[in-house]
Amino acid sequence: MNAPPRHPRLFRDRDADIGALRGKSIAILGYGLLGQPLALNLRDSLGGAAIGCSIIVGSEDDASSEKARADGFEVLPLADAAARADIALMLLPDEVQPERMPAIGARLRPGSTLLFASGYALAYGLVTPPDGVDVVLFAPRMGGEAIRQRSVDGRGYMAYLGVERDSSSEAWPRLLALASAAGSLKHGALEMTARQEVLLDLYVEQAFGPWLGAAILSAFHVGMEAGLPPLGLLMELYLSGEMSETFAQMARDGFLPSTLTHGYAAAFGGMTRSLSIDREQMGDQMRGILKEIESGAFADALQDEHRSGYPCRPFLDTVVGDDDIISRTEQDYRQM
Amino acid sequence: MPTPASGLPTSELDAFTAILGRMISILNGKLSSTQRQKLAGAMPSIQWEFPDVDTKLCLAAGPDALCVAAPLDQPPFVVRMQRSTLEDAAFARRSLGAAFLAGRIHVRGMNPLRLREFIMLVDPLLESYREAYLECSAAPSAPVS
Repeated sequence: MNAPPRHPRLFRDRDADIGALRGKSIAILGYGLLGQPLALNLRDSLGGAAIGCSIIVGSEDDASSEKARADGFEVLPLADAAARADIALMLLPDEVQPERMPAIGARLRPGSTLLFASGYALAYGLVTPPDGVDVVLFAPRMGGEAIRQRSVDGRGYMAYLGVERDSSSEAWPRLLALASAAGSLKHGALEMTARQEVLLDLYVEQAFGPWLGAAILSAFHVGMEAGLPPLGLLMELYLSGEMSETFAQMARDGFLPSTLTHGYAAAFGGMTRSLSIDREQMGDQMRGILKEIESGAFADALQDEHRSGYPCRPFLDTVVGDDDIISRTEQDYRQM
Repeated sequence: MPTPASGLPTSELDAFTAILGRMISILNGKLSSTQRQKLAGAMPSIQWEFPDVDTKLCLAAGPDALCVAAPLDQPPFVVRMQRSTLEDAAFARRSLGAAFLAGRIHVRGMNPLRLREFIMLVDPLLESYREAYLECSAAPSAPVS
């Protein structure tokens, strides 16, 4: 019999003391998808007199800087913000971090904390944080908009936490305090290393996401070829919200138990059709993808894409920005 | 080689084959030596298949030139689409992105981490097809699908 899996530690608000951040200066390096919601959450939690943290933004992107100023933050160049920080949150895009790290790292003070929201640059050895600095991971499992919304309404959001280097012996208390102040620990956060985080993140994005996307596209186009109404197809697939409710139900009641709550016809149809899916082929493809992520081949390709000025971006923009039947159907529905 | 089994008149198949041949010549002039070398390193051969006209074009990429090779039974990298999909993209009636979303382009065997080299080829190839089409048909206007 297999031994039961050993689960990582789960942290909640009760494990954190935000007093560990009293009087600290926190620099948000990058004010984009994650930077804005985390900065707003931290200001809500830590900006009052009781804790008295100062929160500044480091940015060299004009649009992001403008947005941060409009939100009421002091904005400095990245390295200058790092120099003022007791805790610096590295929130630049993964592939951009390696070229920015030397200038930022050179200004970080010994005893300060450098926090990454993704394990990518650390796990692939693309950055070298300076000696004497704590290096920690706080990786939310949620998009920026949801991070903010779920914090405002008190639900919190899942994140991964890890300490990669504890120079100060204070890395864990500070990290837990920060995760709590950022709104995550109301939901809970799991302990994870940077390497585990990046493998999980990239693997599910690349092995599962494309199958889901391809299944939606194929179901839509095959149904349309057969004369089914496009709007009805999109409703069944995601537009009604039934599918997202199903995912929420999986999270709440369990993946398999949720199957039976849609009635026997759905369970019977799903089971019989699942048996005919070539899981071997699917598994082979997923194993290949994971191997390229583990080996660093994907990271090499992403860094090359960045160094070359994102040559694949126009194709991606064409695919997602085209005037296609799905987008037109969605627009029609929104105007109804 | 195209065959009448496609249901198209032989003359039309010959014309399509001629356009593809001319497209390769034009394409060679559009790619730099560096681009050809990158392509040759990433994907030495790309088999383009047009099942509606029963035509296969195996494009072999060498450092000096692209050339047409004999179609392979088990090609390592295949791009399959209808002729009309190629022509719609070449004449900007429908982008390859939209065709991809609609499932009108099937790609098999491509290493996705070498997507950049393939994408580098797409625009010059579509331009070359358009020019070859206009030359071969001697028609001043775009074809009607």
